[in-house]
Amino acid sequence: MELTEIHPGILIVYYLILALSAFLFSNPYYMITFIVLMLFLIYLQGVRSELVNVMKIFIPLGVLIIIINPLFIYEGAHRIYLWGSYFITLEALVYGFLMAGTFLIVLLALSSYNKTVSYQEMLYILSKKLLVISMVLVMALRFIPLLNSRAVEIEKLFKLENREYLNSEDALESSSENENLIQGVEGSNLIQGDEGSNLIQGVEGSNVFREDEDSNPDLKNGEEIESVPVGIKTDSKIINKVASSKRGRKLIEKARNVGNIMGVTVSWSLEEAMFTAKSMKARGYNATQRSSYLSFHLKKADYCFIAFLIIVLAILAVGLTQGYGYINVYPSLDFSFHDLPLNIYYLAFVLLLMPLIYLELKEVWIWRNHS
Amino acid sequence: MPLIELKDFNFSYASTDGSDKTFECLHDINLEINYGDFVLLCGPSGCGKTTLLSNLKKELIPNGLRSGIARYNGIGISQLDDETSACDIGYLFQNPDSQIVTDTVIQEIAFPLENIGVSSEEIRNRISELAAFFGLNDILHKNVNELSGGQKQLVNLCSLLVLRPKVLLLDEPMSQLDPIASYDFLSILRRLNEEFSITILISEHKSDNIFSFVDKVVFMENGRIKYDKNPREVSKTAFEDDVFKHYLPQVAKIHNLLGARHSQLSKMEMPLSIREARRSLNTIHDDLIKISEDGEKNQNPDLAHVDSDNNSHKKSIFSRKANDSIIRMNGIYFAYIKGHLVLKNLDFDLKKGDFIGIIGGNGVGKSTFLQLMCGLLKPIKGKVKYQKNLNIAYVHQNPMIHFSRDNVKAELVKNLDIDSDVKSKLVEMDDGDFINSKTLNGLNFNNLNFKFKDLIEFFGISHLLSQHPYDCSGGEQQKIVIIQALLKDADVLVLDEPTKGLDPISSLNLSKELNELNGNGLTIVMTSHDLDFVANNCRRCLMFFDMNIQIDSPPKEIFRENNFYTTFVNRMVKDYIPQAVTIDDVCSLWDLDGSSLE
Repeated sequence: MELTEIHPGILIVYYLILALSAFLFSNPYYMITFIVLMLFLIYLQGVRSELVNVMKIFIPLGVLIIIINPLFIYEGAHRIYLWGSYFITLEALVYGFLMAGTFLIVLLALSSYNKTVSYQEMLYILSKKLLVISMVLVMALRFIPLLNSRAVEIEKLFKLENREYLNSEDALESSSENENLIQGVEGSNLIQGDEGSNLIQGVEGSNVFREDEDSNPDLKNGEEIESVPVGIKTDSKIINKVASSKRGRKLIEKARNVGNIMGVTVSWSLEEAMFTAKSMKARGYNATQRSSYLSFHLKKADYCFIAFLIIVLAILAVGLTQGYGYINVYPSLDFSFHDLPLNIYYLAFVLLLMPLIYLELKEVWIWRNHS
Repeated sequence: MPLIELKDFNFSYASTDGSDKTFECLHDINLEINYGDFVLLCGPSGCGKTTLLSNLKKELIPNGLRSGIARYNGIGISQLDDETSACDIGYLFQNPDSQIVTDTVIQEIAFPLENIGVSSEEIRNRISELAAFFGLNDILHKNVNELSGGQKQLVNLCSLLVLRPKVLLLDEPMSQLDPIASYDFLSILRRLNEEFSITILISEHKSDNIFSFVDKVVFMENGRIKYDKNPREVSKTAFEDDVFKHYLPQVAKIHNLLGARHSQLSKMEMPLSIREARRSLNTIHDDLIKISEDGEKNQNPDLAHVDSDNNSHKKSIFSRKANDSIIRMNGIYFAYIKGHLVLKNLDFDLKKGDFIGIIGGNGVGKSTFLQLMCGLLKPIKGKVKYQKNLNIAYVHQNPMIHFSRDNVKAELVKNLDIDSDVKSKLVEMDDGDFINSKTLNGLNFNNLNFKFKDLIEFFGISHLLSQHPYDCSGGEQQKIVIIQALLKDADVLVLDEPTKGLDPISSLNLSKELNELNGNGLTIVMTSHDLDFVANNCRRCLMFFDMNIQIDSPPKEIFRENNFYTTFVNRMVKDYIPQAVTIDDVCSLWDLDGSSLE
């Protein structure tokens, strides 16, 4: 939403209510309505890429819930015999579906929430009460990408240090002079092939060790391991055992490399962090009670939103006390698809889901008329 | 009353091992800075500039012994209350990245105001004012990772300015920036000083741009103030000084050299900018024209030498056999993100023995090119071919990240192809034995006539061997990485911005070292923003532009042809001797005694 500003606190409360109602309203009609409208909202908000991520989490977990629930829970009146005396209950199956549906709604609501309430707005809400935590969050948000980019830089250096071999087609055709020169080159930390096998180093070949295995099956293990710069001592029995297999050696090598990269990244970051700390201190951190630059005031739209929510929630609460909107699964399923929920409570439920959709649609309409 | 006053100020660092020993850093500092002064602080690295600056900022006073008087506005600096100190005195660090605390620009600028508890409304007012003045509106909501180094440093500066400081202490703020960004940054500082009378104390190595508008220059050496004068006087007196003559702007150096022969010049005011220098050259216009013409006639051999040097080099490039190249890049395309090419259809041949300097604006792909050449990045399209068993060494812009051991000895041996037991024995030796150890001195190098011992002495790092690599200065760290590479018998040494943040003396040493290594047969490729360094040392120069190598010729030819992107010396003497690019050229063409500059 670009054209309407709603206080982030209210939005947070609204999304909390949505998540809560995903648990409360277990009537399949309500649930289907919920899912459809949330999908529509996400479509309007333009987070379709997010949807793929949601599905990546949901599909495996949802299927798991649906399968596992009836396998372990045998409560319920309606038995379905699968083979012999083995049965599952309809109730457990339905309950699995309902749980999966709830799970999907929560996921959808979360991704929509991420789009609606920026993390800065959330910080604003946090910073009112939890000053330190919000500051730590902000710093972490800065630090994590920084750490990542540093690790990438260092990884590059390590790549060069443990130089990788090149496919032979990428070598320069060298004159005989150069050939002589190659014979002289020694004293590198590389896993060198024997002199006859003209290995050629460079970029394209992505895997040092595979190349090596193919051409030089007769290399001695011990030599290889010690010739690589290592942080871990090689005299441990377990490591030696693992190292004796080629795959294990590869794995250890990888682990060592990652360890070294992380080591350098952390020391680099600590070194830089001293300056960050100094800079914070120099700019008066901890001098007095902190304030926040973000400020939101309740406006007319916010009051309308609150009033709307109160009315709709009141109707829904009445409905819930009278048994509308949810179904009893255990001990016996009391739902049939013929009971269409055509009443004021269902209308209230739909209305509860509508405000953001309404605002987004209105925006689409305004933009279309504008241009 | 001066705004900042230091009287008989001494400072010594407390020992790090907890004992009572102290390490003296500042001696008898007497300095007065008036309201609205723009003061430049110069000196070799480790001379106490940073210590002096941080002693002027209450929050950053290092742990140690202080004596004497240090006052701000008549109040002792350590007695200032927290809020006054935070607001009135702003401190900017070298590295733009490490001082940023939060992740968006607006939050970063708001950060100090939040710290001192200003109301939301007031914070927004102050930010809006700054954004309008510095034109920050476009980047206000950006993530700081998307900014260039210059923009980051500007954001850091703004984050100090929202507090409405009276004094800015800047510790080499431009050392990590490219020349254009430094120039922009400097002009902002100048504006702040002139239009808002903010007192500025800045430490900086490159004096060419800055000398012309500072009120006072303070040269420090070994914790003492050696010169404390206005820039014109300093340019005269410090020229006799072995260390500080290197810190003077090029125009002042040439003026001093010329003054030895043309007495009317030495009576004139010392020029500090190209404009003033041209004016003073104008007074001896006829003489210079005559000398220049004479120089062309009489010193033809000498001039021809310059030219023939280039020609012979050119010839040597072309006369060599095609297969003499050790790295060949063909039709290279590269992009980090789809649709944003960094390099496009680039061809390049690296010959054995080259000494290449790569120049060009920021973000034209110089570093990317180096990394592609080393194989750190893979081209999207195109091939990089290497000579068999070519050993490439790469030195990162930030040499610190090459280190993973806790002393220099261990760093030096860590990549050697020797037994790990021998290595640990070597590391445990004391420095003398380590330097003379048989194992290390038994190493032979293809591209060097040095033994290990000579190498350590040549680079002058013998006193560092037991130190932690992080405790060495940037220049020293760089040397250690270069030695590491040489010990592995590198054929090609690739340096990314080796001149960044180096003081003039270290830069001079680096140029000597690189030349010696190149003379030994090592191939060197480096990027640099320091045009003087490139002009003085490199034999082949690549200028990047528009995703490709635009010019590939000897640096002196490039700078001779260029009008804007060229050395200060060339800009100054262009009307008389357009072929002169460095001070040495000027000396030989105008027959000046340049020996005093060595």
